[in-house]
Amino acid sequence: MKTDFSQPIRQSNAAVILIIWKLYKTWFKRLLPIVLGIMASLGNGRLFLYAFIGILFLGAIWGILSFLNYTFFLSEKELHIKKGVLKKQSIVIPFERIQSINFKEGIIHQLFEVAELEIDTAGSSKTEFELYALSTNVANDLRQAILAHHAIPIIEDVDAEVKIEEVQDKTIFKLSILDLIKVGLTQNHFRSALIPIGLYYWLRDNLESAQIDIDSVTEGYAPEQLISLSISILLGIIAAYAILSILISIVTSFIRFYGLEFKRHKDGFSIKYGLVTKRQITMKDTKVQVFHWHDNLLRKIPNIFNLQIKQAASNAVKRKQSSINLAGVSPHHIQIALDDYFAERPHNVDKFIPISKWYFLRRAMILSMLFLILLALSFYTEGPSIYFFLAWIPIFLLNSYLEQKKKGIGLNAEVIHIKGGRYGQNHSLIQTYKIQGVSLSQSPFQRRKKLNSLTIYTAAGNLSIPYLEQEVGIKIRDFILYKVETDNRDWM
Amino acid sequence: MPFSNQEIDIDLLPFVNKESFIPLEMGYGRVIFYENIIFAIVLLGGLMAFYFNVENWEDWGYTPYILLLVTILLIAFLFWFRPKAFAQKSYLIREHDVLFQSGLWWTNETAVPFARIQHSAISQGPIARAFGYATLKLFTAGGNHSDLSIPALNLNTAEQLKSFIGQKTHTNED
Repeated sequence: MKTDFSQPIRQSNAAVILIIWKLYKTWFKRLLPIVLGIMASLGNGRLFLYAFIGILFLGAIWGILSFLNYTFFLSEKELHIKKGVLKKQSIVIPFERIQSINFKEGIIHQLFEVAELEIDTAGSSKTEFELYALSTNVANDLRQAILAHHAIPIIEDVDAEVKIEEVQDKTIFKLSILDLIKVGLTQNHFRSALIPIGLYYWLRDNLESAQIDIDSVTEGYAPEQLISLSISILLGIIAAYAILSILISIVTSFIRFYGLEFKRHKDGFSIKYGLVTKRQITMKDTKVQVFHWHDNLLRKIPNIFNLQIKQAASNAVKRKQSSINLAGVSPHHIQIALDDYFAERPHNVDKFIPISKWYFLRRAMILSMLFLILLALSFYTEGPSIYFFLAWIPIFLLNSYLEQKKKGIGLNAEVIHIKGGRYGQNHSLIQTYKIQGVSLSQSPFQRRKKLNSLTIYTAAGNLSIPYLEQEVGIKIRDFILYKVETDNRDWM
Repeated sequence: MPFSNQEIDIDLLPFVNKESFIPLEMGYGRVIFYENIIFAIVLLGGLMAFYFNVENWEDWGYTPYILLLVTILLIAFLFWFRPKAFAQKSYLIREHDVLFQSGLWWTNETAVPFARIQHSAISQGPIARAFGYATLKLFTAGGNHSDLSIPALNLNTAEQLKSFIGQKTHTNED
């Protein structure tokens, strides 16, 4: 006899045990340090034991209450869940939004002949619903009842390996050994080089406090000898560090991208890579969300980019694992990939809207004030460390200036393109109809200057552009809403 | 469906009328008040428990006074800030989307089309439930920041909005 889901029903009684067990696990993980602290301060073992039993008892009561308050039923087009002890929630999930229905059967489940059902919609892990224990009959009936509804487009697991027709595939791009070396050489080594400079000052200060008098060590030497000695030591350290970081970069490039092959299929992309373990990622066009590509200062010389194609996934971890990452790609390859993906739809944006000069000017004002304060302080404090900070301010100013010049947003009938960068350039491209939501924000300063910042929410992360003219930001927001609401294509 | 690509005049797009935003229920101020009271009791209770267990006052120096001052300032801030921030929140339901506006000095206006809402929920904390208020939560695939949480609605209003939006989700699929 089929289960009647039209009236609210509870889970199987075995669910109580599982709920309580999960509760204990969460409490244990989070409260263990506090519990140990209390145990230490109380000192009295027996009192602690009573307290511990008391907590277990409370947990059990809470678990039972949770179980009693959890009911669900099916309406014509939706799954309804009512849950909560103190904070009561009433949740409605349209069948069309259900991405997957997963069965989980652990040891306890098999003992009681029940199954745990996990129902996922697209989006973050907050959109997972767990029915801890349903008798296998009820579970199957529920699954059938939901699947029977014609509106469900996707039955497979959103994160499952996708089989793409290998017909009509062509290789867009393949990394050779030489390319790999180029990629390794052009990594951002600058970041790692900054460390020794700070290290030097830190070391010196610590040596002084440990009362190792540097002056007595250097007494015997003439000034010119000292200067040339310290310069050569410094150069030696810099050279050693540069060589070391380049070597590390080349090795990591080899490990990450060895044998990289990027292919285009009839309706998807795939890549193969791996030094020891061969990996393959396939991505259907329908699941593609965002294209990112960027270079850095060093990569301008061989003119290579990193290309990243992100797809929708149920959480950030799976998204990272399922994204296509390419290094050493030329602009030509990127253009081929985009042309193939977009076919006849327009994806090349030529005109970009820049951001307000206030992005730079405001930072400039704050940094200048900071500069003056530090300068005044430098008269009172000893040591070169303050000059170290002072030297950084012009660099921060330059960074802000470059960021402002390069930031821009462009749009056409099909895509939105946001570009930016500092010493290099970065680009993000998304089809407007795939956008999930959009927001405009304003700080008090922006309000005075009639500016706002735009954030675009996608199923593969957020894109944002700061300091747009207020009217422009609003118009772009309205345009995005219009596009999403009038385009009938499925975003995934 | 033949692919068309007409030019769109941006000036003719539907715009958001700031005046139409609906503020949240004023009566919710009471809920915030009682929530603050409970929080204050818990905080002060913790402080009292701490004072109770202090054996040698001199060892602690100024710390107990500083803790008391910080606690009082924190509670005073909550009583002042939370109602003000709540009064700024408002929402707007249009034919195809919902917008939510919040923030005192740093303001934010988030818009989510109905077609992008994954599922919805009505949530009531114990105090809000006692006064008949509820929070409407709309979940999207865009991560936590695009999920909307509209608090301080009458339970009826929240239910109505939820079923209205639910219907919109279905009709958009046809």
